[in-house]
Amino acid sequence: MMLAAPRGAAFALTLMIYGLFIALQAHNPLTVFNEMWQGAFGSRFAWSSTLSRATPILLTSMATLIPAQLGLILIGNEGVWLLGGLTTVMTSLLLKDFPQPFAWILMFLSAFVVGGSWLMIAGAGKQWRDVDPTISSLLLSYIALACFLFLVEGPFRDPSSLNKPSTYSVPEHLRVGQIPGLGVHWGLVVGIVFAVIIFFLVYRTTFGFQSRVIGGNIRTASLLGLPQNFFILAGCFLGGGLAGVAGGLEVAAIHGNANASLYSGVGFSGILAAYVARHNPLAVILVALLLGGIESSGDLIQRRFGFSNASVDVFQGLLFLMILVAESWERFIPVKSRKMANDILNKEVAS
Amino acid sequence: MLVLELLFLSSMLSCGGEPQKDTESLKVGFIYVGPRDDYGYNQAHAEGASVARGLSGVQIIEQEKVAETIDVQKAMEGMIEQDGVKVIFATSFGYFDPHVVLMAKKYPDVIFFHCGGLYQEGVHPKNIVSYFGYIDEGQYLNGMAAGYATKTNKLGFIAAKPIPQVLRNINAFTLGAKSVNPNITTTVIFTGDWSLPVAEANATNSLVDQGIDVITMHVDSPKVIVQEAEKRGIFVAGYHANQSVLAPKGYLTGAEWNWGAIYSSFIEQVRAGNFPGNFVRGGMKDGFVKMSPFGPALSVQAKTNIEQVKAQIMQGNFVIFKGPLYDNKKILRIPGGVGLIQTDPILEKMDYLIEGVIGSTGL
Repeated sequence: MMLAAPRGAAFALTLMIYGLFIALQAHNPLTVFNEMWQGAFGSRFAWSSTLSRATPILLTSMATLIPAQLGLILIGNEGVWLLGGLTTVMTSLLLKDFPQPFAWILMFLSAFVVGGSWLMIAGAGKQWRDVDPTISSLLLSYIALACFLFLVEGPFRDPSSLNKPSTYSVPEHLRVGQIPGLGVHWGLVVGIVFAVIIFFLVYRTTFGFQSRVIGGNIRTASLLGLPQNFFILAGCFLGGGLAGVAGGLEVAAIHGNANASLYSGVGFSGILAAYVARHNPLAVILVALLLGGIESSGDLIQRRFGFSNASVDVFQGLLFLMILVAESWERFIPVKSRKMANDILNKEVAS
Repeated sequence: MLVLELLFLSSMLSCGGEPQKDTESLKVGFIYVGPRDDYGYNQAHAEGASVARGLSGVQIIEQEKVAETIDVQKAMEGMIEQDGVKVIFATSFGYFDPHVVLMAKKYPDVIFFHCGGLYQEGVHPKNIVSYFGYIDEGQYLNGMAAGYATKTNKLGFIAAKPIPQVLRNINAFTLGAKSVNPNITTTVIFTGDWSLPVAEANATNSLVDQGIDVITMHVDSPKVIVQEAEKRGIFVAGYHANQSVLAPKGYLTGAEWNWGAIYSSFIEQVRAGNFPGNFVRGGMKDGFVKMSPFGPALSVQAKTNIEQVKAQIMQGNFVIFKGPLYDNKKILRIPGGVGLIQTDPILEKMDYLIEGVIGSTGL
C-alpha cells in the first residue's frame, strides 16, 4: 500500500495535467479519457490491438532488464532486435526442407546466439577495456542498424523486391501463427513465459542472487570471489539473446521478411518498459500492457478527436515522468513502513 | 473529366453485395506513415484527403505516423471495427505486403486503396486498388528549370534509396536538364532512408560546397533540404508538395502530387457503386501530378519553353525515355529508335543511372 500510494498519485496527477491539455483543446477530458479506455481495453478488438503491441516489448525489455541486475545500463535493444530478425529469416531459408519443429528451434536459437553475442561485446568492453557500456551498447545498436540495412538492401536482397528492398521471405510453413481467437501471435505466450522464467532466475536462484550481488556491490562480489566476467557476459548474452528472439518472432509472425520497416522503435520501448518496471521481470508484463494500451488508445483518440499523433506521446511521457518522480518520494516514507511494504509486495508477487 | 489509365480493369469484383445507402455518409479512412504537415509525401496525401472532405456525404477519418508494422494492421482494423470505415487509403508504399494484403483478405467488403502499386492479378485480393502517378514527368520539367537556372552546370539530387521509383526520377530530372543544357551533370547522394533530416541537411551542404547550384530531391519531407538550399543561396526544385514558402528566392518550380482530384474521383466512383480497377496509373494529363507555380528566378524564355514541353506532356505525346540512352557505365539501356511510353512496365523496374549522373546504384 505504501508503495502503491505514490504510483497512484502519479497516475492521478498525469490524468489531471493531461486533462488540462485536453480542455485547452476545447474537448471534454472525461469523454477523451473514456475513449482512451475504450481504445485500450474496451472491446475484444481493443485487447487484441493492445496485446499485439505489448508482445514485442516483453522480450526486447530483457536486453536492458537482465544486464541491469548486474549493474549495467544497456540500451542496445533495437540493434539486437534487428539482427535477431535478420538471422531468423536467413536461417529459415537454409532450413526450408527440414521438419518444422527442428527448423523453428534453430531459427530462434540462431537469433538468440547472434543477438546475445552482439550485446556481449558491450559487456566485454566494460570488463576488459573499461568502455562505458551504456554508450557502447547504443553505438553498437547503430552499427547493427547499418549492417542490417547493408545486408538487407545489398547481399541478402530478394531482387524482385523492387521499391521496398527486402530479404527473401520466411517459407510459409515456418511462419509463426496467431493464438486462435485473440488476433495476436504466439510471441505473446513466449514473452510471458520468459518473463516468468527470468523472474525465477533472478529472484529464486543462486545465479540470480549472485548476479544481484555483483550489481549491488562490486566489492562484496569481489570479496565473495564471484567470477564477475562470467556473470557479466552471461547476463548480456541472455538479455541480448531474448531481444534477438523478439525480432525473430516479429519477422516470422508479422513481416514475413526482413526490411527497413523492422526498425520501428520497439527496442527503445523495451528500454522504457524495463525502467518503468524497475527491472522486475513480472512488472514488465504489466508495463508492456500499459504501453500497448497507450498506443492503442492513441489510435482511437487520433481518429475520434483529430488529435495529432504526438498527443498520446505527451500522455505517455507525462505518466512515466510522474512515476519516476513518485519513486523519489519513496525516500520520505519511513524505512520501517517501506520494508513492510516491500515484504507485502514480494509476497503478492510470489503468490 | 478525368481520364484514368486502367491497365487492368477489374471485371470480377462484386460491388453489388453491399449497396451504399444515400442517406448514410460514406466513411473513408486515410493512413499516413509520417506527420501530416511534413511539407512532403504525407502532406500531399493529407491535402488530397482534405479536398475529399469537401464532398457531401463523405466522412474522412485520419491517422498519422503509423509504422509499417503491426501498427498499420491495427490502424486499418480499428478504422473498420471501431469507426465503420468502408474505404481505406493506405498511403505508404511499405504498407502493402503483408499488411494491406492481409486486411483486404480479412475484410472483403472494404475497398483498400494502396499508393505505390504492386498489384498482381490472381495473387492479391480483388478489393485492392493500387494507384500511383508518373511524377517523373514533373521531375523532367524540374530538370529543364534546373538546366536553365544553373551557372555552374552542376546539379544535385538528394535521394533516399536507389530503388526503381527514385532512379526513374533522377534519370528524368537529368534528361530534362540535358535537353536544355547538354553540359550539365547531376550528382546524387543517397541518404539511406526516407526521413533523415540531419543527413539531408549535411548532404545539401556538401553538394553546395562542391559547387552545385540547383538541388532537387526524393525523400519523404523535402523541408530541410529546401530551407538549407535557400540559406546557402542556391536554387531548388521541389518535390511531393509545394515548398515555395520555404524558399521564396530560390524555388524554381516543383513536381507535386495532385491527390485532391484523384481521391475525390476515386471516392465518387465508389459511391456510385463502381470500382476504379485494381491497377490505376496516371500522369500529368490524367491529373495525378502537377507543377508548382514558377518562382522568381527563371527567365521568361525559360518559362515559355518549359510550358511548351508541359503542354506536350498534357497532350500525352511526349516521351521522356527514348533511345539511344546509355547509363553512366556506358551500357546501352534503350536502343536508338525506341521510345518507352510512361505505361511501359519496364520503367517500373529501372535499375540504372543514366549518362550524366554522378553516383552509383550500389547494385
